[in-house]
Amino acid sequence: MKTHLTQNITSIRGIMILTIVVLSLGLGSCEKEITVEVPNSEPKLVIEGRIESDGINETPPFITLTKSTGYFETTSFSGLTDLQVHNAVVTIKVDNVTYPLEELCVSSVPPALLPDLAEFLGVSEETLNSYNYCVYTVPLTDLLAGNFLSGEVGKTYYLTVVSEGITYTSRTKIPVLNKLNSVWYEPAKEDTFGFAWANMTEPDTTGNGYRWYAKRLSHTIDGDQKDDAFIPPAGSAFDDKFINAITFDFAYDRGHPPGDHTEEYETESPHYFKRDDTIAIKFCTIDYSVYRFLRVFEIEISSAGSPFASPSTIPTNIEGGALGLWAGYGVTYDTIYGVD
Amino acid sequence: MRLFYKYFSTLLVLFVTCASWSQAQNKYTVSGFIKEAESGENLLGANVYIKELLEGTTTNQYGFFSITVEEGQYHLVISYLGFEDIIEEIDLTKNIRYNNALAPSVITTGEVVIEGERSDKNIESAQMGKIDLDMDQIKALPAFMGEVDILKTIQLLPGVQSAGEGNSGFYVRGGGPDQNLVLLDEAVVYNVSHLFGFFSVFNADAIKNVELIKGGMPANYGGRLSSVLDISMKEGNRKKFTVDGGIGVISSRLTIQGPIKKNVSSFIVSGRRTYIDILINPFIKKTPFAGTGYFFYDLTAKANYDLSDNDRLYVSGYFGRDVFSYSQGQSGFKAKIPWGNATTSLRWNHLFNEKLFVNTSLIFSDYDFSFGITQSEFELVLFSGIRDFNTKVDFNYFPNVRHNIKFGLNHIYHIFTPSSASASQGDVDFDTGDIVKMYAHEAAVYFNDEFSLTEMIKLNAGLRFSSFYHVGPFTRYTKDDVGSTTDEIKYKKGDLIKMYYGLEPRLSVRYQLNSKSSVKAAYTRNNQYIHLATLASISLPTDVWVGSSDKVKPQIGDQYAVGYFRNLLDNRYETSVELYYKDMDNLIEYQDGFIPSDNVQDNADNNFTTGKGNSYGAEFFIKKRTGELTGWIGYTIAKTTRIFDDLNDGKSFPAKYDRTHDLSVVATYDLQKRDKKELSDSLGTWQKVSGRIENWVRKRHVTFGAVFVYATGNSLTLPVGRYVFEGNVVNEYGPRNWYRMIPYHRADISVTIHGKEHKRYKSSWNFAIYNVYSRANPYFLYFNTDIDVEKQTLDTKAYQVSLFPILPSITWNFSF
Repeated sequence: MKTHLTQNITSIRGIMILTIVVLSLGLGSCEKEITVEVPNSEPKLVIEGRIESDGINETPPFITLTKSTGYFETTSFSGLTDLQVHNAVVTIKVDNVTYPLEELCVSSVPPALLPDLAEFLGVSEETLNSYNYCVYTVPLTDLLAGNFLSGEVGKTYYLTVVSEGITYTSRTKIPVLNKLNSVWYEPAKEDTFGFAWANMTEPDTTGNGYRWYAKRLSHTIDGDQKDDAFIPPAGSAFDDKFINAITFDFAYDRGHPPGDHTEEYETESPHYFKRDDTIAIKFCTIDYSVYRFLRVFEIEISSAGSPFASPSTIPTNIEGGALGLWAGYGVTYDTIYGVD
Repeated sequence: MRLFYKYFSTLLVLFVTCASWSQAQNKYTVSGFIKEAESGENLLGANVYIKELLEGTTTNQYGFFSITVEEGQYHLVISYLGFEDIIEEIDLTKNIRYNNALAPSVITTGEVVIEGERSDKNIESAQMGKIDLDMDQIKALPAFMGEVDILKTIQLLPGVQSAGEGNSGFYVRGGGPDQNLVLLDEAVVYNVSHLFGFFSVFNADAIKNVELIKGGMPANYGGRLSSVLDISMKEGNRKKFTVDGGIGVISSRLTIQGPIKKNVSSFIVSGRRTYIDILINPFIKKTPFAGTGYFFYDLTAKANYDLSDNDRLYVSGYFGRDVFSYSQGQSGFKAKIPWGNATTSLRWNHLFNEKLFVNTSLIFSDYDFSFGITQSEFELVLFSGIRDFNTKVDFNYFPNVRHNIKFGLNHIYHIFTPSSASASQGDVDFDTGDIVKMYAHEAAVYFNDEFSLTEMIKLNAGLRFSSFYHVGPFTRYTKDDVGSTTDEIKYKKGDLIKMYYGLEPRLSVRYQLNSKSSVKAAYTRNNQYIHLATLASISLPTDVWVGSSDKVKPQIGDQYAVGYFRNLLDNRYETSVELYYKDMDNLIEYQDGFIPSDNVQDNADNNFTTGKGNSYGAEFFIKKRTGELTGWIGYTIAKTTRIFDDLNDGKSFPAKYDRTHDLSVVATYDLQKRDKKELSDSLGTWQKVSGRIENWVRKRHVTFGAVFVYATGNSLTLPVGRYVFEGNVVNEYGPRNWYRMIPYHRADISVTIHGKEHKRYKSSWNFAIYNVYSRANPYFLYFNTDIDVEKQTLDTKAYQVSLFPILPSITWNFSF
């Protein structure tokens, strides 16, 4: 279940092709920039929503709404915020009670919620603070009062989004938690670099999905925490096809935040943890449609642009013509303490 | 199976009826085998006819012919392009057994025209869309990296498209790669290419004859919708031992043949291996990729034995393997991926009498692909393949000169392994499900008669009854929406799970306008019970074969074709125009979003979706058959579309191998060794170029080859939009195959210089240049999104990757 491995399996055709290209490079194959005339496509609504339960902490659901853009349009980061869709009507229904959500922008989010929001958006808090990014979540008054809708294990959450006159619907279930039996670090390259390992027992029911995140709590010599948020490595989502009802060990390498161009990334071992890292593990149960989406999504981003990966439309669980995912997560946490 | 025997008995009745036609009085038969004089090998497709009647036949696959006419004195003419004709006076007052051998003609320039010769085969035959390729011509053409490749030559014919740059995969009249029946000595070859398509699995040194049927498939062939590529291996020299070989840029070859018992029995063994791995090794030895490599090899062997005048035995085999290994030092990830074909054919020819020839074959075919990876303690092996046990009995009956009847039966036992896996982590085995193999019987009976109705009208009419039985053991998994198995139906060994059958009428009609031209029309229906499931945009060894089942119906194809055929200048030029329309039903594709590695504990066909396709086009062909300059120009204009309910929102889309325009120009110029006078007559301008060249050429036999191809670019699915999810930029794809790459075109040239012929050996040098003007043809496109942190922008650019610029190659061939 090693991430690299699962990723490698799916991209083996890519590897073969790569070999052709490498072989032919010796023969002088070449590449050049070309212009592709892309037909105009109507921008679509993109829904990115999640609701979590870890059985202890209560976090509110977060939903961001954006628009898709033309493929070759140069987009600026500030443009990304321009892509945000405002003034939508968003509701979540659970146990036959409907909860209206409110649009909340970063500038008005309570500082205590910023870490959760930053992680949800996949950016650092610092980045988050530099844009006025907006999400749909429970009303601010409820948040401040500490009395708000949050995920509960075993429940199904129905999402409705009405934007520009179109109604989009989805549902997701937070599956029963599955706590890892144990977690540990094991060296893989010399003594210094290694993978994060875990032992889990998979229950005797099929169609279970899982997702793994890790965050290095150790600090760099500059005193910064190594990771700002929990990072899903490549191949973070898996299901129980191979592993139904068994107890087994598995390992993950270290993931990177999207668009990681930090100096550290360029070092010799970007995919390893270090021996003295303290690593927080977030291990989630997800329902099958969430797994399907994430699985294809992860393959798609790892092979994006490759003509050999068959172009796949990522199977969204949203009805009404939107892209994206409404996902429930059943979360457990563990920590691996550095050997030193 | 009962139904099958019912049809077979009907066929026997038909045969008895036919046999009674031949009971006319005072008719006698001349029959026998025609061979090549030099090697003693059978000559197939030689013209044999009665000069006085201008009626005759051609030798069959085993060199046999039979002509039955009224008693009398005749001249029997035997001719074959490139060989000296034989004219023999025969006194047909009794049945005559006539065996003879044709010797190669000394000079191929002068057309040997026999007075009153019938118009050529392509005009005369009722068959449409059939092309024989001359091995010598194939060898004279420029070859990619010096590797002579019959499949690449086939791609130069009208109606046949290549899969892409340097690719041996071929598509015929809009059909998929799985719709070509590729036979090597009657054994089905499932994977036709090495190195992901760059080289074909057929070693040209071991091949005697190549025949392509792209339309109007006669009833003796079946099981595929689009084409038959019938490849016959050499039988082995019956007169003397010879050794041929070649040393090329990427591979070397060696062929040994000779008599086991002179004129009675012979053998041939031929092998080839690449050394890409050895060449690459020094460059990657010190990189993290050390241990990554690739090579392929193939081995063919054949032997034959004349048991008696009426009985011959042939045994032949092919074994080829590609081995790809991949190693990534840093992560400890290692992969080993071997795949390849193995075939064996055992054939027995028997002559019941001078009119009835039978061939019985026992054939084994196997294709398998395995994929093993390890990382730390994790091990995974995936494998897939297909294995056939094939029995065939084919009769060839010549009741009289107007009929050439073929009938027979065929049974194939298929074992499909669509995709299986085993995985372990240390001591723990992961549950990857049972190995779900599929077992099936495919059976067919056929009857085909090529007969002249009148002088003008000739028919090739046939009927094939085919059937398919999917049998146990088998486990059918029923999945619910979340991919969980809700039901498992287990079938026991021999249980009939699903049966399909169908009648396949085949008819082509020729109407002869005059001795130089004819029009033809054909209708054929074909059923195909096996399917190839392809994921990538090019065909790869990871593609899996599956049989029809309760989920997947057989593919059905109907093809309509009309054509005008005309020969010019004493048959030196052949020209034709053919129009075709083809409908295909029950084609399969993977469902959207299918992930191959998730295909465990599941039936492959649970992930398919079915649809229809059609193709229509016009093919123009002009060929110069004889002279110093030979070659052809072929042009096809065509349109091929697919429509699937579950793909592309149910809208029609272009097939990935849809080519609007496809042009090939092929030429060889053969300068035989001449005496001085002849040379100065024929060289003309050459002479003026330089006295030195003249002198040099005079001493040698030099062959020039040139190829030019132009084709509309491949269609593919590109993204039209993008969006951001979890901070990643995600593609949103447009309609299926909406984008068209720029046209593909390329020219290749070659020169073969035959060395001085020594008494004991001869050798030749072949110099070829691939892509002479270094056209950057697109192999694939990819996209790169640059994130500029400083400017805080995202910028996506498209890049085109081209594989082969101008590429020279050199090969040294020898024989002794």
